[in-house]
Amino acid sequence: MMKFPITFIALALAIIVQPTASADAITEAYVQENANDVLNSLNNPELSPAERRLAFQEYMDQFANINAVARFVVGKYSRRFSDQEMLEYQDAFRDYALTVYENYFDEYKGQSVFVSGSTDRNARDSIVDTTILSSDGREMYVRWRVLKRGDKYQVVDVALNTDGNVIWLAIEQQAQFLSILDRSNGSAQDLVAKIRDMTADIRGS
Amino acid sequence: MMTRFLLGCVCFCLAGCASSGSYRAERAEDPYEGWNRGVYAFNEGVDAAILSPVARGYRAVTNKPIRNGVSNFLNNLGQPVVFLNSALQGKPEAAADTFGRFVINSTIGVAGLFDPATAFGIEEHDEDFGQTLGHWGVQPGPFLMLPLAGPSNVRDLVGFGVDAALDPLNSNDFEGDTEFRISRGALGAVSARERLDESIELLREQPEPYIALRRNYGQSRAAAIRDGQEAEDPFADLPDFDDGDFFDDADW
Repeated sequence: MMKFPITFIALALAIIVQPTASADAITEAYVQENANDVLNSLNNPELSPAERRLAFQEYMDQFANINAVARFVVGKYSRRFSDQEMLEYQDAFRDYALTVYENYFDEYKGQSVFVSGSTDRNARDSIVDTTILSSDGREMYVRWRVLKRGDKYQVVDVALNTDGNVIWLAIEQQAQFLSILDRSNGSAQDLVAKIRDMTADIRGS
Repeated sequence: MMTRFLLGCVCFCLAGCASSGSYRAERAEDPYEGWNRGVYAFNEGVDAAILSPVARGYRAVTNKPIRNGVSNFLNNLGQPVVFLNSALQGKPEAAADTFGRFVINSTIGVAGLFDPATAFGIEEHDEDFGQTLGHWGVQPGPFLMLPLAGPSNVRDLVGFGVDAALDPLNSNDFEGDTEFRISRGALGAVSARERLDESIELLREQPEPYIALRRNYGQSRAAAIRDGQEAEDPFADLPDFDDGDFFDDADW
């Protein structure tokens, strides 16, 4: 007689616990579709280089929350910058981040992104694992951290997995930017100048 | 150690590390940052004046097969140490692989110049005493930037000393041993510097190369101790974006 209630409770618990095991299909589909769009935008032969860059940036703006990443990257200083400093910094950071990502993803342009799994950290925070095949046949393992607000999803960080060394780009940028700010008395101007220099260097190389 | 300095850069892709790395944690892992930065600047100067030009000259006067042969030869010399550390970590398969690779590459592979063991499907392993200590739970201790040798930590510095003592080519006397050891060290430094040239350039393009190198060194060493496997809970230390004032509703 007691068997039914125990089985029922176990089943109910399993159903409650199960959703944390993998991200919902919508998050995975979101990454699959948008990551492929981003890579395809770099490989459209009908567009000029300037038009391709613009298309890439438009996709990235939809796919990722670059302003949120910019604030995260300067950590405690995001509350210390004046409004004007924050605007200038976000503008410089956006330019830098898009240039870095464009440069990096260029190696994988036109390739397909395959979702291999996902994990929910909580109801609004998921990690989606993907594999991208480069043009020379190498497999790259990329993780996308996707946050959900309301019914909208956006990527806030990307990780590369090299021999078990998982590299989260925004977290690394935060460590480096905070060090720059710590060593310059929190000067937003110095940071913006540095970011603009780096962007110019990448474009010039 | 020069090889380790260079290897510290190797996995560097665009950027960094998995741990959240709070400011306090960063300070705790690098209490000698002022000294370390000075040494880093010194090493960069030495690299620009000597190592980099020599490595590029080496690339210019040799072709890829020759460089691979040199790299194979040097790698093969280190296999007894890899074997001992595999055994000390309780990895009999890795120890057997390493023993087999050493025998095959030293004979069929002409003193290690060629690598037929890989063609035979025998897996290569990379173990040192720093990893052995880490395998048995020893923590890395403070980060150290060593003159000429590059990034390290207390655990790896001890490991380097033990590896040097374990190496039969260091612990045994033979005719011309001093010249051999100096040549091996110099050739190892040039060969490794040449292989990592592009990675080092990438490192220098980072916003803060010293921080990037320090973080990547710690992270890649931790991954090596796990034999390339992911951490048990890779998402445990991720920062919570919702914790800070990072989101503006206008951005969504």
